[in-house]
Amino acid sequence: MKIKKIIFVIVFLTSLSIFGLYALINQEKSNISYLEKRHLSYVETLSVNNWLTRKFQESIDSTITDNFWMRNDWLKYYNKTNMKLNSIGNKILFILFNSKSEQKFSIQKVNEKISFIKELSYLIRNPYIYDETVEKGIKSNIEKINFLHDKYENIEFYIYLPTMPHEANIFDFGTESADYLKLFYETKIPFKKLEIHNIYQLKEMYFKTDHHWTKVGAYRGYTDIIELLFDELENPKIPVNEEKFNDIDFYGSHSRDIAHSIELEGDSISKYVFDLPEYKLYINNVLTEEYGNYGAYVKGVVNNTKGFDHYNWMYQRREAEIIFDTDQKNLDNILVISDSMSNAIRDILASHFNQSIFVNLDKYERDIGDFQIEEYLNRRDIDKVLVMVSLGNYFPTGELKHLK
Amino acid sequence: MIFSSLSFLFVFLPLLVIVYYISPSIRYRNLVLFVFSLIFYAWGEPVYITLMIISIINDYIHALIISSFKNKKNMIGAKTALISSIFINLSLLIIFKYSSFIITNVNKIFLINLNTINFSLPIGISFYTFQTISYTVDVYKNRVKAQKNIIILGTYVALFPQLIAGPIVRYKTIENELQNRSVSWEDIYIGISRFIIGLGKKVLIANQVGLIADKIFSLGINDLGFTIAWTGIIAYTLQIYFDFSGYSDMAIGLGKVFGFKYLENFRYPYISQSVTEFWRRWHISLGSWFRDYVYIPLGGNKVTTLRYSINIFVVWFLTGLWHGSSWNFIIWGLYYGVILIIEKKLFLNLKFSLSKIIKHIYLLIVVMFGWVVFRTDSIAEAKTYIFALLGGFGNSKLNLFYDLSIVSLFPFIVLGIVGSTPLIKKLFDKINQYIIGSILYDVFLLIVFLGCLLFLINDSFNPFIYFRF
Repeated sequence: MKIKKIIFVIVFLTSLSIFGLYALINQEKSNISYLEKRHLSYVETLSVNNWLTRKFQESIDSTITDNFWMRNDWLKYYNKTNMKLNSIGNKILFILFNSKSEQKFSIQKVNEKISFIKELSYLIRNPYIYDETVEKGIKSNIEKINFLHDKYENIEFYIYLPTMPHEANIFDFGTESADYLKLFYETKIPFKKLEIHNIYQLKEMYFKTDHHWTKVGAYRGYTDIIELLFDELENPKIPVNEEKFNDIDFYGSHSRDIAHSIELEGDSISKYVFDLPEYKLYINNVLTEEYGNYGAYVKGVVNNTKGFDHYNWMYQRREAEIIFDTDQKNLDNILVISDSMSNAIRDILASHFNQSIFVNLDKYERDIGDFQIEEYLNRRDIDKVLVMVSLGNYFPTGELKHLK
Repeated sequence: MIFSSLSFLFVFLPLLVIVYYISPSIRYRNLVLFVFSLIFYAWGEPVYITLMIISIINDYIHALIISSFKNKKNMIGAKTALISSIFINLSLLIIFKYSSFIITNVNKIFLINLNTINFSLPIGISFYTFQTISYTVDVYKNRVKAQKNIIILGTYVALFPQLIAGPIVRYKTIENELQNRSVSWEDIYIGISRFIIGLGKKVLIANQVGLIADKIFSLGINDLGFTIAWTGIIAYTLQIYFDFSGYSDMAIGLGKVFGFKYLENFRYPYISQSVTEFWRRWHISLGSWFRDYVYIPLGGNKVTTLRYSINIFVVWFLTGLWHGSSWNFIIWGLYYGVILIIEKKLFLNLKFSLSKIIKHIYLLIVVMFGWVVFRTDSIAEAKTYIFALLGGFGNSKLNLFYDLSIVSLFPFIVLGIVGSTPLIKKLFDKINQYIIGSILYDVFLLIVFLGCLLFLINDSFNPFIYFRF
C-alpha cells in the first residue's frame, strides 16, 4: 500500500514537471495555431514593467495553455465530452419537464459557440442572446443609416440582411432575432433579407462547416440585392457555367471552432461562372490583377490542408476598400458597406455599376483609420449606398460600430 | 496566481516541491516557503504585495513590543501596542476594501460630494488581516509567544496555500509546525489526493454551475420565470459551496504536502437541519474567528437577552461586511443574525420536533434566499429575483435553457447535489480499505485531474473568424 502511494506521488509530480517544461520549451514566438488563425502565446521578457503590469505572468499562463502537449487533441476531447454532456442534459430536461418534444432535431451543443445537428450532419452557430444592450445597438446603428438617408436626399440607401442559419427560425432554438426585424422594417430605407423557409434551403445555401454561403446562397443573395436595388427594372445575371473543384474538402470556421472534433465530410467547393464586363480592380488603392484566387483553383494549385479557409481564399477576402471600375459611365456608382458575406458576390454585383466601392469597416478602422462616411459620400460621386452586413454586425460589438 | 491555473499546476508547484525537499533544514525550508509564497502572491498582485509585507512587519514589531511590555508587567503599554497593531491592520483593510463604500454612504447621508477613492481590492486582504489580528491578540492573551524570527512569522502570514482564500489559520494552530515538522510519503499522498479533489470541485463543478448562475442572474425581468430562477439559485448555491470548499480542500491538501495540518473549513453544510448547524459546518475558520475574537469578548450568550441579541447582531453585521463592501452583504449577515436568534430563542423553546426532511428543506430554502441577497448587486435586484422565485413573474419558456446554452451543464448540477453530501466520501472510505479499492481511488483521482485539464486547456481556445496574423 505504501509503495503504491509513493509511486503515485512520484509519477504525479514528475508528470507535472515534464508537461510544464514541455510547454515552456516548446514555445516560440512564431508558433501559429491554424485551427484558431492566430499566433500562439510566448513568454514575454521578464522586466520590472512586464512584471508590474502582469504581462509576464499572463504570458506564462497563456503560453502553457497554448503550447500544452497535444493541445488540439485535448480540444477535440473537450468538444466530444461537451456533446455527451449536452445529450445527458437533454435527458435531464426531458425527465424534469418532458421537454424533448420541443426539439425537432437533436441539436447538440458542442461548445459555447457551435452546435451539431446530427440528422443533417450540420454545424450551426449557437443563437445569440438578444437583450436590451443588443436591441439598443441595433437601433442605434439603424438610426445612423437613417440619419444619412435623411441628410443625403440625392443618394439612395438600401439595407440587405443576409440571414444566418441560426437566425433562420427554422429550428426550435427559440431565437428572438425575428423580433428585431421589425426595427428594420420600421425604417424608411428599402430593406430586404435573405429568406430561408426550410431546412433544405438552408443546407443548400450555407456550408455545413462554415458560416458563409455556398454558390447557391451567394447567387440567391445577389438576386435579392438586384431586386432590392433596381426594383425589378434590371435582371440579375445568369450563370454561364459552373466550376466544381472535387478534390478539395472545405472545413470552415464552424469546424475549426470545434477543433475538427466531429468527423464530418468536408464541404465541396464550386462556383458559378458569369460573363462579366471588363473591370479595373483596386484593392486598398493598389491596381490588382485578379479578384481572389479563382485562377489558382482552376489550375489546381491550392493548399488543401484541413481547415484551410477556401471561402476567404477563392473569393477575395475582406479588405478595407475594394473598387471595381467597369468604365460604364452611363451606370450608377455604388458604395457597399459589407462584411465577409459579400466576398462571393462583389464582382457580379459590380457588373451592374460604373464604379462599385466595397468597404469593410473593421478592416478600414484597423488598416486605414476612421471611416468618415460623410466625407466619403461628399468626395465620391455616389448614387447608391447598400449596407449588407449580418445581424451580428449591428450589435454593439459588431462592425457597424465603426460607422461614424 | 490561483491553484486552478496551469502555471501553478505545471510550473510553480513542481518547482516548489523540488526546491523545498532538497533544502537541508527547516530553516531553509521556511525560507523557501516564504519566498515562494511572496512570488505566488506577487504573481497576481505585483503592487499590493507591499501591503502584505507592511502587515507582516507591523505585526512582527507590535507582537515583540506587546511581549516586552508583558514581561515588564506593563499592561497599559501592552494594551496600547495591541490597539495600535489592530488599528494599523484594520486601517489598511478599511482603506483598501471599504473606503469607497463608506464615502458613498457618507455622501448620501450628509448630501455632500466627497470624491470616492477607487482602490482595487488587494487579493486575500480580509484573510491575512484576520490572521495577523488573531496573532497579536493571542500574543497579548498569552496564548502564543511572540515570534522573534521574521521569516517564520512571514511564512505564517504569507503561506501560499491559505493566503488568498483561507481557511483563516491561527498562528497557534501551526506554531509548532512552523519550527518543527516532518512529512511522510503518506502525508504527501493524502495532500495531493485532497488537492485533486479540491481542484475537481472547483473546475468541474463550481466553474460549470457558475456559468449557469451567471447567465441566469444576468437575465432581465421578461425572462426571469419561476423555473429558470430556481435553476439559477440552485446553481449558485452549488457554485459558492464547491468554489469555496474546493479552494479550502486544495489549501488543506497543499498544507499537508509541506507538513502543515490545517483545520477543516467545511463539513457538508448543505446536509444541515438548522441554520445554527449550517454555520457550524460552513466556513468554520471564519465563524470560530468571530466567536473567539468578537462574540465572546462581547459577553457571548452569558448575558441578558437584549445584550445577547445585540452581540449576535454585531457579529453578523461584521460577518456580512467582511464578505464585501455592499449593503447586500450587510443585509445578508443581519438576515442570519435574525434567523439565529429566532432559532435559538423560539424554536428551541417550543421543543416541537419536525421530520428531518422538513428541517432540511427549511434550511435549504433559508440558505438559498440568503444567497440571492449575497449574489445580486443591489437590494432592488434581490427583491426582483426573490419575486421570481415565488412565481411572481410566472413560469419561464423552457426554450430559454437552449437559448442560454446551459443544457450541457445540467449534469454538473446533479454531480454537485450528490457531491454536497458525504455519500461519495463514505463510498471511497469504504473501498479504500482494500488494495483494489485504493487503486480504483487513484484511478478516480487521475480521471478527476485529467477532467480538470480538459476544461483548463480549453479555456484558451479562441478561434477567430478572420485572420489575425
